Amino acid sequence: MAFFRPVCIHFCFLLLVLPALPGRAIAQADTIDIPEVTITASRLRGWQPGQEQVIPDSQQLAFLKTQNLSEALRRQGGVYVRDYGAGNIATAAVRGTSAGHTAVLWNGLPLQDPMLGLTDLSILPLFFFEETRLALGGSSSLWGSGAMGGAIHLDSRLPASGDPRLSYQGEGGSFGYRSQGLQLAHGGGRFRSATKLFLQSADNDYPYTDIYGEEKRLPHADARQMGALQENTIRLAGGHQLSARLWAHRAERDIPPSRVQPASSARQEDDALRAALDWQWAGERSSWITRLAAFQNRLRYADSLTNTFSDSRTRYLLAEGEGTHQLSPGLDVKGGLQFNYLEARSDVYSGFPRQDRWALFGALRWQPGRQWLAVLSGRQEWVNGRAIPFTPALSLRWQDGSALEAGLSASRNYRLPTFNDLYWPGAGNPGLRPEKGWNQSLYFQARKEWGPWSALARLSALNYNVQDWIIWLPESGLFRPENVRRVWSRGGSARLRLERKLAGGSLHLDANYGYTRSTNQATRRAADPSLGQQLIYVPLHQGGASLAWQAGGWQASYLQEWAGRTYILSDNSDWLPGYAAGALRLSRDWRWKRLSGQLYAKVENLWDENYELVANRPMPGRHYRVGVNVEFE
Amino acid sequence: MRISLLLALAATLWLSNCKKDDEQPAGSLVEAGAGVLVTNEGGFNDGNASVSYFKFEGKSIEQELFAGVNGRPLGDILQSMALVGETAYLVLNNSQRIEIVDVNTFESEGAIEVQGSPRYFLPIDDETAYVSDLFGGVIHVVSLSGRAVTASIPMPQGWTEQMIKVGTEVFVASPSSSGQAPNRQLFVVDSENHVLTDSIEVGLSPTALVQDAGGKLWALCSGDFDTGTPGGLYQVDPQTKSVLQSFPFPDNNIGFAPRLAIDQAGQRLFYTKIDLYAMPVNAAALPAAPLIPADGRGLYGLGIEPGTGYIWLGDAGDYKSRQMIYRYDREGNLLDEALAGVAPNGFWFY
Repeated sequence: MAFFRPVCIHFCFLLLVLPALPGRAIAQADTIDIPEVTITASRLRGWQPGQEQVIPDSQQLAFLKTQNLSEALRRQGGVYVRDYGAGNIATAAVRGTSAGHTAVLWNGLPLQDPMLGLTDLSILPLFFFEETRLALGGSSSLWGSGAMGGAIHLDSRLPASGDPRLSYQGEGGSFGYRSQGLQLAHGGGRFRSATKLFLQSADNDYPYTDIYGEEKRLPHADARQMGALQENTIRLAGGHQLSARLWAHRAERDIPPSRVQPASSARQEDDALRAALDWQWAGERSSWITRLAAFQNRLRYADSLTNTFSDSRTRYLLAEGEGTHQLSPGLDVKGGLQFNYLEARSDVYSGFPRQDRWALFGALRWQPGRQWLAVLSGRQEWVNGRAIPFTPALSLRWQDGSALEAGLSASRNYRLPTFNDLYWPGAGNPGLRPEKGWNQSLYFQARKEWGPWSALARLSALNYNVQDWIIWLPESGLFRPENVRRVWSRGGSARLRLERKLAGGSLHLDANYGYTRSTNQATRRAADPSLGQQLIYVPLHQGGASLAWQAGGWQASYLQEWAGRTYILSDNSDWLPGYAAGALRLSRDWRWKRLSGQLYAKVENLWDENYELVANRPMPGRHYRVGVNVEFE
Repeated sequence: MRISLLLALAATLWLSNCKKDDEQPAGSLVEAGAGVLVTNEGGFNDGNASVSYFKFEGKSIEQELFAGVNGRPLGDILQSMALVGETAYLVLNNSQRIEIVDVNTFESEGAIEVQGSPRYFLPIDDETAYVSDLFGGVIHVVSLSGRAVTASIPMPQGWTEQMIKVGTEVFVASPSSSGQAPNRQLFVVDSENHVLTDSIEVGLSPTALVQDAGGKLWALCSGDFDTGTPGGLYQVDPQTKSVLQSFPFPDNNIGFAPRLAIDQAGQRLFYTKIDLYAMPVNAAALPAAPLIPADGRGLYGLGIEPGTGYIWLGDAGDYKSRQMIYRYDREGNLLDEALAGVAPNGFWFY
């Protein structure tokens, strides 16, 4: 690869593709009332009624609190987590799209890196979020660029109770894994706050077999991250509320060699500082919110073996105002104006790229009776003064009591080219068009209860089209981004949840399956062997299941995830084999004086399955974790 | 509940058994003069480098010779191959390794581990070979009997590429390296003492080298993308260390990986610059039109068949799929084509 420059190697290393949600990850009705103290992801709740949502089970999340977002998104059909191995980079792609088509939003604020257009889920600890939710399907009309395949929402919730509360969670286990989180929260009254500290480290020196069949331990794989999050809300007279959040995070990682490399000297350091202010007002029929946010990210990468060094800083500013008004009972209108400023300073760029984005968005919600709810929304954005395609959306839900439910959504969506697409020296293409496309999805859901049993079954279907999909192809001496690809993704998913109440406890079964056929419908040349083939890193078949029992303060669960063949070449001539991995979790509630909590133990990859989610990046074999939660009341 | 559990268990067991079932049959033996070996570079970290073998008679192609015979993958990024008698040295860049095989059977005869990023292999004598390196700023000195790197020759540029031995001297092409000043020098190494002795200024970013019938060297310089400076073709006298002729390219639209080859007689040069160009060594100017247009393909591997002078080209495509190789006659008429491996980057005649 004579002219595949070192910087390009770094870039391509970071070009990733993802997927799944555990346990009782049942999609829930989307018209949940907004608790007063939710630091709100303002536009979502109740404004996407026909969109399928997946919420990881809170009981299973309790086991993952000191782990990262990538762990929570496993075992869900239709989502592929492209995980480079324990402690290493992980991204998520939803329903046959790519990782760049998954928006990741922290209280409604986008976390995607402007240079890469991706979010690394391995440095987002679940400890910092009270609610993790995956909205399946496009939602550009509400969230803007990138929300084409789905959106991951990470929301905070401050405590409602009055007394100060201190809690701690610590976990340790195989391969030098140590993770701790400490939270001090204060609720009640007008002022509420939470302070969270997080520390995680791991050697990740797990056994693997290289391509020559030699058994080794993964070298150069140390990972360490630490973060601090401070959130405050104060309620003022007249229905006003002010919120302020500050989040500082640092991650340091040695990047291990792949199975084909004898050694690695690569190291990556990520620093993030995020600040956000909200001012909300709620009246009887109207409400508004204004928000200001400033994010700064720094990514440093150094590899002495390949003589690759880069230091990139990106800044992101957001200002928005949004209002909601009830026109009449059952008819609400929402409108807003948003301004974004993005910039990047990097030693890989010759210039200093900047971007201004203005967007107007609006939505009309109509609830004619108890059964129907419809939302019509739209967004128009201008990037550096140039209008990009208008993105409308229709979201519709029908409910017959709690027994039957159906949802339909149709939307136009877009993704703006990343800074690397536009400005990479010698290769970036400022003339790139935004990716755009329509998607439609539909679901039916039924619930039934009889005696001690309850059941929920859901079936869904999807049809996505993306035009002008940007890919990097060799051209005139460098890989260059082009609006070449057209992708058609279609498929469906099924979910079944069964629960049986027991004396003093319960038994749950939750199983899901996703089928995603996502094909490349247009190529630069007619004879391209990737034409009509399944996209790489999109398994056709995927799913997960869990069986959980709880009684008398004990909880036990078995979880299973599986995926079929996952292609790694665009002509589908090579693939990762299917895999099935299990996990076992056991916990015991405890109480002592004013302390309470859980003790737990986990066996991950129970059957010691040898598998990869990215080619030649081995996942750890069977390993063990023990942990404790402590609440000081 | 029991039925659901059984179904879940059955699904799990079924999927556990979904293992890769594409094991290739053993590669056929290679016969001298009967075909062409194709090195397929593979994708970075994909571990799918391979060697294909196209047989002239019957026009069949065998894939994955190494894996088929030896029962294990070849490695990652097969940059080049060198033939020494009946031994083939397969240089695996990202595996930091040179696999040694008997070219007739493709049975493994061992490996040389090279700490760095090996690119090209040049035999110096029965005991020694040089290996160039993408990042290390060295030429590795390899003991063929010991199958190990025994010394390194420090070089002024981080990237050393193609090499040619003339007498006791080795001429080294060194493209400009990341983080260093642009390079226009061909370097000269004394292969008896393994030291850098001289340099010759040619065009910007010397990449590929061949020797013509008159013993003169031709250097393909690829230019610079960032500054837009074009490269060119340069004829060098290895004795006087002087440039005899310069043919600067009119632009730097050089293609993803410019290649240079010469026919067996040493009379006709071939180079890729997006398209394929052919030029007699005594031409007064660069050819105005290509002999074989790329037509949207990413021309990558280039080889000239001994005897017939037929031209072999590989298409890199998107570097993420198996792609075609093409055989043309001397006038550029397509004779044969076949599907090879991922990123076919070279043709080797035995």
